[in-house]
Amino acid sequence: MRYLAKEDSKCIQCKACEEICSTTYFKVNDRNKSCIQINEKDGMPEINVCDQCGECIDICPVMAITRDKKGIVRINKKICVGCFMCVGFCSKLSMRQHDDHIEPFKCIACDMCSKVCPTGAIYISERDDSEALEMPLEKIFNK
Amino acid sequence: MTVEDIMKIKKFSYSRIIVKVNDKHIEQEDYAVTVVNDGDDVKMIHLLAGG
Amino acid sequence: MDIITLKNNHKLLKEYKYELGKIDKGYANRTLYVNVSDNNIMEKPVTQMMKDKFVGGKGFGLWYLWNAVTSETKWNDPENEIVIAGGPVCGITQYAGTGKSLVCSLSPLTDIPIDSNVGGFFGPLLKFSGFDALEIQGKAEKDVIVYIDGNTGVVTIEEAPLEAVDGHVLGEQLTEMYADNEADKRNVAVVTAGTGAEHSRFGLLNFTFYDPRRKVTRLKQAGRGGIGTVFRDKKIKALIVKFSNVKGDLNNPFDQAIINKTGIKYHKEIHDLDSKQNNMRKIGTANIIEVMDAYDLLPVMNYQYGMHPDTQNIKSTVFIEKYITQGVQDGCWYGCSMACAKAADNFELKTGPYKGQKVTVDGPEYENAAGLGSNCAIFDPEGILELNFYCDTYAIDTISFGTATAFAMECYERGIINKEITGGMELNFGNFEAAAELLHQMSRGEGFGVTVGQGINRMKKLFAEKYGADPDFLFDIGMEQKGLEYSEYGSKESLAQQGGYGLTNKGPQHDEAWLIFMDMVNNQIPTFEDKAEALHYFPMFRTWFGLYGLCKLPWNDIVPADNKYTSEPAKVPEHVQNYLDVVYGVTGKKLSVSDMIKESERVYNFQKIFCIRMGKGLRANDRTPYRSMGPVTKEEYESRQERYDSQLKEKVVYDPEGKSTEEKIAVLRKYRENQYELLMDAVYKRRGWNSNAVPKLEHLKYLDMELPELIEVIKDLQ
Repeated sequence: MRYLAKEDSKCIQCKACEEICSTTYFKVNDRNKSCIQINEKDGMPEINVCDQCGECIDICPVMAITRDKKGIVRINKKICVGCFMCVGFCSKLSMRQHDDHIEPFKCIACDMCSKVCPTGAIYISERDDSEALEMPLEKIFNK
Repeated sequence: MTVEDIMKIKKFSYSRIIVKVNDKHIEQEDYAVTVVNDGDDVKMIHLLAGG
Repeated sequence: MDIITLKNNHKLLKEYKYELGKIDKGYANRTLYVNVSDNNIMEKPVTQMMKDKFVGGKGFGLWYLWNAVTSETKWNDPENEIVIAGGPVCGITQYAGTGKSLVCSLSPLTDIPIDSNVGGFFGPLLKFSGFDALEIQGKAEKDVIVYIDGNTGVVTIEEAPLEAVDGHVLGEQLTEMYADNEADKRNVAVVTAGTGAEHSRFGLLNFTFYDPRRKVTRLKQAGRGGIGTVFRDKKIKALIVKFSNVKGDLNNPFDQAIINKTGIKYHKEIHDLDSKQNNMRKIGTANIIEVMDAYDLLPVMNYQYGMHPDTQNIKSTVFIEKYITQGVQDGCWYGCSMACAKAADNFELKTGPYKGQKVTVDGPEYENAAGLGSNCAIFDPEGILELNFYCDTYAIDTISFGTATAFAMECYERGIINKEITGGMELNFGNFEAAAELLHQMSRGEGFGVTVGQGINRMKKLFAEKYGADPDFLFDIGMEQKGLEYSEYGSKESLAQQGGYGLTNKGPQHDEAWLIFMDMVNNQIPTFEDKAEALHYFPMFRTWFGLYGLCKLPWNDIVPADNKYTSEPAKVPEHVQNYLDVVYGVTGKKLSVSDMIKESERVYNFQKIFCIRMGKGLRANDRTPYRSMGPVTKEEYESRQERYDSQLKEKVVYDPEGKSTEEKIAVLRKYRENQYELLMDAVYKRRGWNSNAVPKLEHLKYLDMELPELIEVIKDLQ
């Protein structure tokens, strides 16, 4: 599955990624509307962005979250009922929510941010499909 | 007698329990090592929700 | 039978078109009235007075019911209503447990108002369709459905002769019939009863929601009080509501941001703590089966005992490991991260008309595992699941059925009734086949099952009058009060819980107070004043949820990590603040905790006076069967001899040495019954009532509830 890989140690916290993400999708430069967020912990940069693990897929009550052909986890905003359980349950804290919008949003590995990253700290990569955390329905209901 | 001993005698098996000795909170990992003396005020409050 | 044929056989009796509206800060500001006698359909406005004094949910239900009936109205008169109402918070999607409705009606068991709470999608979709409540009055000539199309603004009453009556079949048929396609199924919600509700007094209502992963219609229940019996008596087969495009802001809240923040905080809490606390997401309320047994509080064999070695066979881990599907998002309305609506899938039925079918069983909740299980000594998880399923589809209250069957079993074991009376059924404790057969008889309307389906109150009369049973003994062991069967907690050793059950408005249901541990195990409420305070605060607090469309479970079934450090952990202050924040976020109304209690007290006292008006609201009606208060029989006394002997020594100052068990039982009984009388005095005083349990006029004034119709009922009872 395709995802945005990261190397925190290369990050210089220039925030170019946050700017391009929020500007592209929400037409405003606001880190709170960016799918990728650069935090700092004990003086060190921390890149927080969805790794397409898929644990949110089984949480959604309306099955609005699915994996597309490239393996990217996507929210169908038409179906989404805005409960934000995916936000609360994301163990990586990478499912985003902003009060201006009634649906959550997340990184879809579109590659725009890696193109503006000056140090190559973020880049598109592939993970093995076996690392997906959601369970197929046949497996859940087959005892 | 430790807190753990008291809980065994009283058969307090439920996990959501608040234990205070002389108004000081005792955490679960310390039950076995916290000694209770005569005259100590011991409170064991179960938090059971019910239906 | 295919869905097209079913629909083609409908006969339209009335069509009503309405303007679609917008919800304003949680209120649709109108309600829908449907009369199935004359097919009159109309809209009624929600007045400011209704919002100020009744808030919504149960408040609206009781207000409409009061105005529909007289003090002479019986449950099966056409004037009796069924009112379904959510509340101003009902339907938000961000916090857990926000899809509840309360259903109100006059109960066939008690003849006074019953209020019954239920999840599922009907309440929220009804509100989004434009209505804060649905009032149903009258009686149809032939089986009808009422359909509310919230997308186009049309309400119809249609004859529906061919559809099934049983919940699990009818729910599927109507969901399929009214949904545009598979994706639309979750936008259709159905209310059904079942064939059992036609032949018993404790019929329930099923409220469906469509499960997109299982691709089945799930069933939640408005269980208590027999509202399903009223439903079928009115010849209503089902209610259907359809509303597509559910979104998170349909309530048009005052401040969405605070709702979002509080909801996400709560979801995180469930994610982090559920598996360390109660495992609600794995097994729901049944997580306490083994806990109750460990503390000698599980109802066993008609509440004679509190524990049993075979509880090991039905403890929560057995259900989790072998029957209850794990890893599925099981909330009964969107946004419930507590997700306790667990189910057993592909469960093969062993008995009855659906034998051999593999079904989804909604449950078992704790009440089912205890009522259908330990209370009848059926320590068999598959037996419990099968009885659970048939109760749901036949629309029989599992609690009343469990407690009533346990009563019948004890009568059978003691020779009060025999095989001749039961029609050949060996109603011994533990006989699953016999219990199942009782249910099937209720569905078919024949046999001893119909007798059990009349409820304990009427069984006691029948057994005494027709079979010469000792009425005093039956009164002692028949676990009902005001006509309603007790729910599944052993109150025998907790004076506070005896009051928690006995001093309720509707009858012994634990939604008002659940004080057993606080009282018996923690000893936190030792004096009468302490107990009275708890029996004021908790019933008022817990019934507040039913005004707003909220489920009580997210309040205290899981608690924040630092809850134990707060000054009153049993009240879970952070969660209480969550609710105040959510109410503010939706309505713009800033409430304090004492405001909450007062809001609830208004409706509670209204309900109390309603019960007095209907004939069962005074002190004499609050007396309880002795089995709920102490040991009736020799075996019960001797099973807890040490406890009872010490109580005699310490509290009664009576030396048990050398005395017979019968003597000791009598002395203990006199003491305990007197304790209960003293408790009544303390509680009534704290609640602002006189010693006959009548609200005082000055208390109504304090509550700003001096409605002339209320004063009329109580002025001569002061």
